[in-house]
Amino acid sequence: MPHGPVVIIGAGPAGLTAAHVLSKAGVESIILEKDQIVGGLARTVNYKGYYFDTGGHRFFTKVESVEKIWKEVLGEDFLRRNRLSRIYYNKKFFYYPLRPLNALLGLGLWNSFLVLLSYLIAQLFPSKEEKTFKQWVSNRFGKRLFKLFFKTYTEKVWGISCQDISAEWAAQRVKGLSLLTALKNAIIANQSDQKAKRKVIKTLIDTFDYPKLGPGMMWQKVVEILHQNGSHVYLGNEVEGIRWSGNKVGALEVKRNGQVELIYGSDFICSMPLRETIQKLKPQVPKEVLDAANDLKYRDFLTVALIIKKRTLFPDTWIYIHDLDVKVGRIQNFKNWSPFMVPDPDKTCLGLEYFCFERDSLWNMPDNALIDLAKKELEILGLANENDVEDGTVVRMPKAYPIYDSTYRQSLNVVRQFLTRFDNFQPVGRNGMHKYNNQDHSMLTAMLSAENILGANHDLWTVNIEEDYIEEVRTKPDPKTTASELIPGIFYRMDKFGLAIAVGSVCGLLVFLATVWLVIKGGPAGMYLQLLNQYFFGYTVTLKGAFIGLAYIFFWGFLFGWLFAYLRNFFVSYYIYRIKREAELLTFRDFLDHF
Amino acid sequence: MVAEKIQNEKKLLRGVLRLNTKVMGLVLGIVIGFVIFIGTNWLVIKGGHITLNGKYVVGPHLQLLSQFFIGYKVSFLGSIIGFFYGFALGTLCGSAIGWIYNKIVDLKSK
Repeated sequence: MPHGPVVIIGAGPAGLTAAHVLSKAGVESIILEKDQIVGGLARTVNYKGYYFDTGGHRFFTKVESVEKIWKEVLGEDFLRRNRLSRIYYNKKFFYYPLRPLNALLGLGLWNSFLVLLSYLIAQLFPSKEEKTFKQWVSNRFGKRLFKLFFKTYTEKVWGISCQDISAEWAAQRVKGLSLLTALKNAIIANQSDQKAKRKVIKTLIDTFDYPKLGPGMMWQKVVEILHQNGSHVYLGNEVEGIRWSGNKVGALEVKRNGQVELIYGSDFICSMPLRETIQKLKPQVPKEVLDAANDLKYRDFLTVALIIKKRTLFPDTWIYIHDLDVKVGRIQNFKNWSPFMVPDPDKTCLGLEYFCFERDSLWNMPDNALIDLAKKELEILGLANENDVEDGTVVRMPKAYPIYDSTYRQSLNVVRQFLTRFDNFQPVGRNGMHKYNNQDHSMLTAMLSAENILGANHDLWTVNIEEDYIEEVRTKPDPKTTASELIPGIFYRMDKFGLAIAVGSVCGLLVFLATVWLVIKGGPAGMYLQLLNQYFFGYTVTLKGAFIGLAYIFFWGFLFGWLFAYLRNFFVSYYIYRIKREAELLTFRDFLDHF
Repeated sequence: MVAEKIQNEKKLLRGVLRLNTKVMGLVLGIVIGFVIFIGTNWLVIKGGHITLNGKYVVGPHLQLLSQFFIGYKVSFLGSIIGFFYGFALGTLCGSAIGWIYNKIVDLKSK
């Protein structure tokens, strides 16, 4: 147990979850938030009674402990929503995840034919190199489908060409790709399990839970609970410095009322962006660590919320905008997330999301200009009339997405290595760990960090990378585990030469012994065995014939064994390939949702 | 953990299968045993024919197995005896195939 208060930097999902877990264990914490609102990236903004979410946060998780907290805190305030999200491209809607018939009808006959042709070409002649995101997707779906449904949106989100995004990044975004897990599931799970699993995946994609007043409602409620339990959340308190010495962090420098105050604690949990964390450490960290931290980059985004004098506009919860002639990347329809978020039933509130870099021209555009741009783009897209827009506001979200570029991994390793020296300081959350965690995984890192303070020994960096870790945290030991450990062995390559020799020698020996037995014993069976010479010239039921038979049968047994092993290896390899592809495609279904 | 997973995947793709000699023997034993058992009973149910010298014969060719399996006959009792002989032979052959295969794999991996 800690001997003083735990100090938590950031009142987002990670910071507040850590405080919540600690308060349940009777540990007091101090939470410092630089903004005037809690919720971090999962905040809900209230503009003249209209609530809007920054990014659209669905509440679904495979992590039971996270689900438990959600239900515990909000209970009846959750709504179960049906999801409808489509891709808007060329003035047509395409369901997302893609539905083949809808896509074919939307693209038209000629385009559909070209899509199928390009898919076939990709399957028959895949690009040998899979270094870029473009190559990775094209190899699986064909170049044409990549261009239509993945290229423009991905480039809008990241602001860089798909040629410059590494294939490794795509593979990282596609979760559950473990070949071993896929094989184990394919073997262990019976048909009904598979059906149930598919149903769960389908459910996760088609419906989700959502707080009546957006995700911010959850975090407001957590703050209330924390205050009741004696913890303190301080808004508008930016951490200016992190004082450390040896293997301990001692205190935080916080600016309050123009003066720098020191906040002491026994343990520290930090969800502020990793780059800032390193920059704020005092004394300054070694140059190579600082350089590595400065190399960590972020993608920022802003939401233009528009209040529109229309009862309904479209049935989607959100729409992906793939058209290149507009800058908007995604449009949220908050009334469809929750009707409670729009106070006037005759109006609709849309959130037009623009992905940008802090301090680029879009980011620096005045709010009025951004609202005008959003209105104009809505009209260009044909989704609403510019004149129907009654009011609007802008919310800027800096450092919304950690960027996984070609150097981030190396830099992150340097920073991570440096931070391991601290016994009482744990980075958590998406930006805190520069890790593309969703809300639930951010919460999980925070829960584990709180448990570490209470005496556990979790490795927070394995969350999200290692699906099995999550399984381990949320479930009891699986009785199938021991059996499943043995399963990979089944798929090992069979040694062709080994089997050929074994089958050849055993069969050859069998015929040799049978012949010798009949030579010694005599009897009518000999003349029938003699018939073997119809195939094996020179074979007789004699001692010499026994050796000739041995040689012949060894040869044919050898051939049979070799062929058997070859075909077995071929079909097993094909099976592994199919399982891997299926696992990839299953997880790729909701690929765009991860942005 | 990730490194371990990559290692396991590499192992999966590069590993060489070892045969379980006991299982191989058991499987081949059961298969051969049943082939003889079913083959014999099939002939028993199907019935035989009367030879020129007035003898009723059932499955004269399969009967030749008695040259190797002493006591075997084309009858129900014989099918049970044949099953045990077949099982023993299959077990021996299966185990031998497994043992030789594993020895070769061991030698190659050294």
